[in-house]
Amino acid sequence: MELAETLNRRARMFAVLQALGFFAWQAGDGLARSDTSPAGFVGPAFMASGIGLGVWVVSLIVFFGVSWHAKKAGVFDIMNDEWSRHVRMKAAEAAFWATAIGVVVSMTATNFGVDGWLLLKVLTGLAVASFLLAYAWYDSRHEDGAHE
Amino acid sequence: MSAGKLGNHMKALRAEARLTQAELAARVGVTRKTINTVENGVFTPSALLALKIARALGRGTDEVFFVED
Repeated sequence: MELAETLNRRARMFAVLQALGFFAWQAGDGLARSDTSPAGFVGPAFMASGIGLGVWVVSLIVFFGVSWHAKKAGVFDIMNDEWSRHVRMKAAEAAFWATAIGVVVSMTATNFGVDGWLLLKVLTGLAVASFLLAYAWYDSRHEDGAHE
Repeated sequence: MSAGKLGNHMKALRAEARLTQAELAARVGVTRKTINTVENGVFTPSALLALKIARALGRGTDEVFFVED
């Protein structure tokens, strides 16, 4: 049981890293390639994008590694129990609202000359990152009472 | 009919059975956090999970869970 909790915490940590990496990758790439970005932004944005991609790929591999470890140790079903599914549904709902509000704001912004492609990249990053961050946040709660 | 809320006597029954949350969780096959959230009324379990919890405590479901007005 302790192993399940340890792996759960590890999965959560790598979910946060995935969120940060994916968002940096997409937003950085969008900024670097957009015609509306200032020239000074291009270099740092490409760098942020590259680092983000690296962080995302590594954390995704480790995330699946944690699941594989859980499967081998026989705690995968325990880690994916009813509460865990409930948490993911709540995270999906939170991500839906973050994305919906983001789309409304972005589509409004395109009317004022902001690059639509850049916004699409940022929104894609936001949608994925908000789900992963919401999952980590909801899942980190109610950890008290371990020895009650 | 009002919606009501699922209440429970899990904490008292668990103490009576001399089980920690972690021990009950192991018997039921869920994480301790699931037991914690059900016990504290944060999460409403499915009928299946409620039955498993009651069985692990050696009680009937209606002895463990009740509808709060």
